[in-house]
Amino acid sequence: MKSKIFRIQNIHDIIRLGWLLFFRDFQYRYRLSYFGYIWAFIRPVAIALPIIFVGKKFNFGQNNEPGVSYEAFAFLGVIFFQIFFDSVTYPQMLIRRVRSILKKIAFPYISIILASSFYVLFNLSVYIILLVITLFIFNISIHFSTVLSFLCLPLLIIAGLSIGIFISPITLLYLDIRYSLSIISGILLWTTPVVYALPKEGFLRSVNVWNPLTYLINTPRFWIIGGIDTGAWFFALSIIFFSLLFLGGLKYYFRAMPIVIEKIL
Amino acid sequence: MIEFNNVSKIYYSDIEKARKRAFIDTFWQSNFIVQSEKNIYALLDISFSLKEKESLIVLGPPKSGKTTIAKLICGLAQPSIGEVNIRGSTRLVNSARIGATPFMTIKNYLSLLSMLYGAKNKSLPYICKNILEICDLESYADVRIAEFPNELLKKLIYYTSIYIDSDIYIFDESFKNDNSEFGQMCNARIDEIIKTSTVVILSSKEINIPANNISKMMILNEGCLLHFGNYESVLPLYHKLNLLPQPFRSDEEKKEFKQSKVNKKTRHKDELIDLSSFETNYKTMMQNRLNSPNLIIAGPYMADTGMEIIYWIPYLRWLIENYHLDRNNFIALSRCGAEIWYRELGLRYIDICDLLSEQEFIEMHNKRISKGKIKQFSISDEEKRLLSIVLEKLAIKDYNLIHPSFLFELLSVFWMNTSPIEFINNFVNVKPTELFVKNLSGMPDNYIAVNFSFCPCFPDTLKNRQFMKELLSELSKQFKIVSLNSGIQVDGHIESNFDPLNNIISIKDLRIVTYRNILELQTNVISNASLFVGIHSGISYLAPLLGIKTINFYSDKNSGTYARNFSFFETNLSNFSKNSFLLMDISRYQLDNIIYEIRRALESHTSMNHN
Repeated sequence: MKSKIFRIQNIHDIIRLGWLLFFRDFQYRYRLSYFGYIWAFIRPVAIALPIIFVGKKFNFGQNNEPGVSYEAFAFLGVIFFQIFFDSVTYPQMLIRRVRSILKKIAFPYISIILASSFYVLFNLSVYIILLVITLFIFNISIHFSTVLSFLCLPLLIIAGLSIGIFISPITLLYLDIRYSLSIISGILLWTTPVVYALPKEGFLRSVNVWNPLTYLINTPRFWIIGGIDTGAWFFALSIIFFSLLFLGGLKYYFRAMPIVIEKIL
Repeated sequence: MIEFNNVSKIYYSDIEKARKRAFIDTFWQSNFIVQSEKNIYALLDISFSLKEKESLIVLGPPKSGKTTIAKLICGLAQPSIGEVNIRGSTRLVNSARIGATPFMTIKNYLSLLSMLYGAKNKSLPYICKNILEICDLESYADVRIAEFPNELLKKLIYYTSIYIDSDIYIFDESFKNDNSEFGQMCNARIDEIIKTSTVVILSSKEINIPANNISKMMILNEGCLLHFGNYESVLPLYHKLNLLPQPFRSDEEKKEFKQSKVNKKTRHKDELIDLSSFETNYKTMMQNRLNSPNLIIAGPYMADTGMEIIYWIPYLRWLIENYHLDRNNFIALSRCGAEIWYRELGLRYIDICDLLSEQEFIEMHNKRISKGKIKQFSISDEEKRLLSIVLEKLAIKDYNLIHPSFLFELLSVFWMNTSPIEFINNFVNVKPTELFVKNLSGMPDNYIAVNFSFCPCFPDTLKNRQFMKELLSELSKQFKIVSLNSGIQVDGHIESNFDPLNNIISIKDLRIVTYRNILELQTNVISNASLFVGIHSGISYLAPLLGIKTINFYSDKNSGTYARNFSFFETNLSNFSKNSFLLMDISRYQLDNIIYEIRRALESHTSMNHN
């Protein structure tokens, strides 16, 4: 049962289409709100502040090396986690936003992923501003490793997209994944050492050690402000793991899209 | 290039099951189809191919699978069984508001739509500017969608969908062929598309499109492909849709039909007919039918007036002469005062308008026109009812029926374009007509009779309307004109309504015209005219047969079966009436030339009368 459609598409055209799809939705979302683009700044700060307050109270950073500011430690962790999780959620959000177009026009589906990437990049630009402000407020000096950690940000995006593009076609059939994302977000946040230092022992440590996201957050954060070094090797292994997942996700995405588009309600 | 290989499309009527199946298929696609009585077979074993730059028209009633074919070509659906191969980009043409949000400006939306349709990034500004210019919406470029009129937006979307280049265009009930200014703009672009790209037009009713623009035709019914082949050979078969199998009651019946010889035979093959054996069989059939002393009833004729004049009456004449039939034992059944035409054949005549009340006749007539069943390829229920009224009235039990479908069967073969004109001439006898007509009171001396109606060879377009208006205006200044406009539609041709002009009398102004006498009145007006000017269709065929000098016009000779009818008529007319008939393509002549020809014809008529 095959439908072979042979098309040659210019990469520039696909990127431009992705941009237009992003801008269409971006404009619509923020125009409908009173505070508009300010929400992009409000969101991560509003998520981080209560956690930092509680974390400081209960000394979540006790396992860190002395001299590491907990507030900066936790805020950086939240930022990195948010970059990752935005990349998980935006593809499925955008694919649902363009489903009326999918039912009527067959266009390159990769442009939807590109559009969600543009969303993530917009948020990333906000996060980078917040990161720089954090470095400034807490007098964190800039080293070569700081630059390295900023270069890891696209890897966080790819890691998030590897899951995001996998789940996005399924959300056209069933909304369960979409509804469960907030639950998954909570589980991931607390099973990854985002706002706490890696425990020295215990069950939570085992969970953290086997969680590939641990290394994607800890290592770049260590390169900026110090803390616990979980090792560059494990970081590299995580990158390879998520890269393979990304390639697999892409393959599944291209396979699944023509099938699920027919069933869009 | 489009290729369908044994394609079937099955929809599960249970949405939950369908989604579950789709979810599993995203991981592991199997050929397994869940059998259920409730499965909907949208398409069943369809195979066809279309080469590059060929065009295909797909006709079929609603729910025959046309939209499914469109979706399969565009990649918006996947076949359940079989394979679909498409080479090139596809475009489903429509005017739906795809992807528009209230805050987008027209320019931004146009950019998005153009990119969705596959426009190149480099040429995007140029494309958007062009489309806005052509649609005369440049000043609205920065207006938001929320503030933009919906109708204008639909037009913009439609034009964008046909403007951006694509290899394959699919028109799923969206083929525009109207005569508005926007429609004509789209027509120009669509004509270009038909010449340069592959086009698939899907419709549930016939479309007015020049035959030479369409390569292939397909007829679908209930998901099954019934006919596929060259347009000219398949089009007449479309009119036999009421002869198609009844809707399937079960999947077994559908399977049987799939395996039936009819389906396999008609796949990919044009119908080729051995003309000489067809002629022999047909004549033998008629011989057997007419070889009895029973009363013969010819009719009821309710199809095109033009066909009645150039084919049906000559066909009856041929039957009488060829089979030596007793005219006293022959009844012709027609309508609207056509008795005057049958008088010369010496037949008894019954008018349908005498069998029904005017209201009943109008209802029956309008129903036939609205269903597009003007040509009588088979006997309908209304016709059976009329026959039973005639039989009851005349107290007849045994009779032989010569139904117009016998003629249309011959014409189908003739219209297929594989048979020469001599073929149809073997079954008809076209002769000049001498009718005993009375002079109508209130008619001026030396008038020109005019008849302008819209039909496929002279469609209702802005250009044609302009031509008609200018011609009549000029004629009315110089000559006395009597128009055959009656306000009554006898067949599928639509009378052109024009503003009242000086020196033009319309027969409807005489206030004596009814459904019962319209054809008789029009015949009277033509036969007493000095000259006849009109569209080469319908009652206009009568004038040259009556020996009246005639100048007829057309704008599209190749529409439908007109090309063949024109050739047939001109060939036969040249046998007995050399100088009395002139046929003009309006696109080739200036108005002054036309007026000059009319004046010349009138002068020669006047000088003949003096002599």
